[in-house]
Amino acid sequence: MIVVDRLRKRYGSVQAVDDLSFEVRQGKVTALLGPNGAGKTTSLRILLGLSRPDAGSATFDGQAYSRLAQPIRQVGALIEQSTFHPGRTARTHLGALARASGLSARRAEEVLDLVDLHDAGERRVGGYSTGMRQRLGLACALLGDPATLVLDEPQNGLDPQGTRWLRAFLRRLADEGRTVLVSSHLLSEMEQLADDVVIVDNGRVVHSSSLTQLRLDAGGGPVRRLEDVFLELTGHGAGHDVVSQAAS
Amino acid sequence: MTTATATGERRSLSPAQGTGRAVVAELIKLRGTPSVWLLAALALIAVLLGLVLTIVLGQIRTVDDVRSLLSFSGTGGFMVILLGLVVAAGEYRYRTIVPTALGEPGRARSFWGQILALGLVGLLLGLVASASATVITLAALSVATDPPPVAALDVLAAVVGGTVYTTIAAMLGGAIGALARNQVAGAIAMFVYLSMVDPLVGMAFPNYGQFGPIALGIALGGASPDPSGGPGALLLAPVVAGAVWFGYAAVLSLAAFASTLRRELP
Repeated sequence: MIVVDRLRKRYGSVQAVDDLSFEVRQGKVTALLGPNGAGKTTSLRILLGLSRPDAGSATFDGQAYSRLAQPIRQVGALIEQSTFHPGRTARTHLGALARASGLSARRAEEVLDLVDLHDAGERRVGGYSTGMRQRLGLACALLGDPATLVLDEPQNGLDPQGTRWLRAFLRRLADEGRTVLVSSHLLSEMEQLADDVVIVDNGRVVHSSSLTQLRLDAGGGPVRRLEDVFLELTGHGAGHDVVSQAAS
Repeated sequence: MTTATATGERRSLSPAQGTGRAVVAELIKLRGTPSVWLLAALALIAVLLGLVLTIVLGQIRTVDDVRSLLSFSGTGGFMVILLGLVVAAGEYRYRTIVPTALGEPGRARSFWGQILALGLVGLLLGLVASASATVITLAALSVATDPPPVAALDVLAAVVGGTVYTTIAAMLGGAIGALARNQVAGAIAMFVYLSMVDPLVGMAFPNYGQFGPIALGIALGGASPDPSGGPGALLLAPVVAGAVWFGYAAVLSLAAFASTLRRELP
């Protein structure tokens, strides 16, 4: 279980995250949604120990990421697309990460197969398409066969086939009892995938519940589009206060 | 598609084990990075070219001439510093520091792992450069008329000193790169220091010259002081020169480590 508790982070004059709290349940896919600059990536970076919070905490089963004994085996993360040296091959990237985590080289081959990059494993990443880099990022996240996945915009650059594969794959991981937190702009995609939603705006949580509950709170019944509800909640659509009033 | 299961032991690691893993992971990355091979090749070419030109254009008359040739392995040191700098700063340029940090959240292990891995690369390069310099020098002596004698101790001192110099140079470069976090800025700073600051300070304070990187390389290689002047005019004893060179690397590495702990990742 992921618990984010009263997280605060300021960059200069910008309050990127402001008293942010939410939980991510085991065995569920939770979508972290919000407009650009809402604080999603900052929250995920803090969660993964890449940034230090000014206040609050973010933990995996009660432990900060930096305290995890076997981080890659416990939490798989895809935080941004371009974290690969263009001159290195996918095998080099995965091999180094596997070695640093005490995993076998065979495991690197397994995840290359898993994301359908086996044949491109010896090619330099600089020649990869955006989608291939995204798949490599997913391979890194899956390397340790972790119980928890934290993915920032994992669908970016994937073609429709890849998007469908990812959706089914994350669904199955959650059904296996794993915890999956996905940040995304693709509301229609999240509508098909997520069990729970956390919507943030201006660094604060504006709604956190199951997707079904969100639709009920928003009114309009269980077929209401997530996009409409999202725009209302983040102040970009008509009836901005409807859900807030319903939720309270 | 199926979800494969990761294998391997699940236990807490000692700092030495953790750093050892980080070193091996860094070596895998270095082996798979074309720019590392390019800079390593350039370092060796610098040594061999300089040595051959010196032999062709000069004469080998005295024992000091032989020592000077044997100590040539250090001339690739600056390219090795650049190699370390490019590798360490490249972690920030390409943001490869992010997966490194996700795999090993303890910044100490990954930082010192990289510095040690660079040291191993420097060690290997130093051995190759020293061995090459020795072979070429001995070959030149074998065809020279009335060659001066070669002491086995001089050869050993040159190989050991040259290797130590190059090893520390790679670690020093890594520290500079981690401090600068920018390949271009770091390379420019190094170039300005070597081409302007070091010579100017050497002119203003003649005794400083023996503490400069060039003089330390010459001293570590076991060369005799150059009576015609220049950076080799005043030389420290090889052991002292090694200690000073290591001191520079240690201070810069500690500063880079403190900076790595304090600053946030990009």
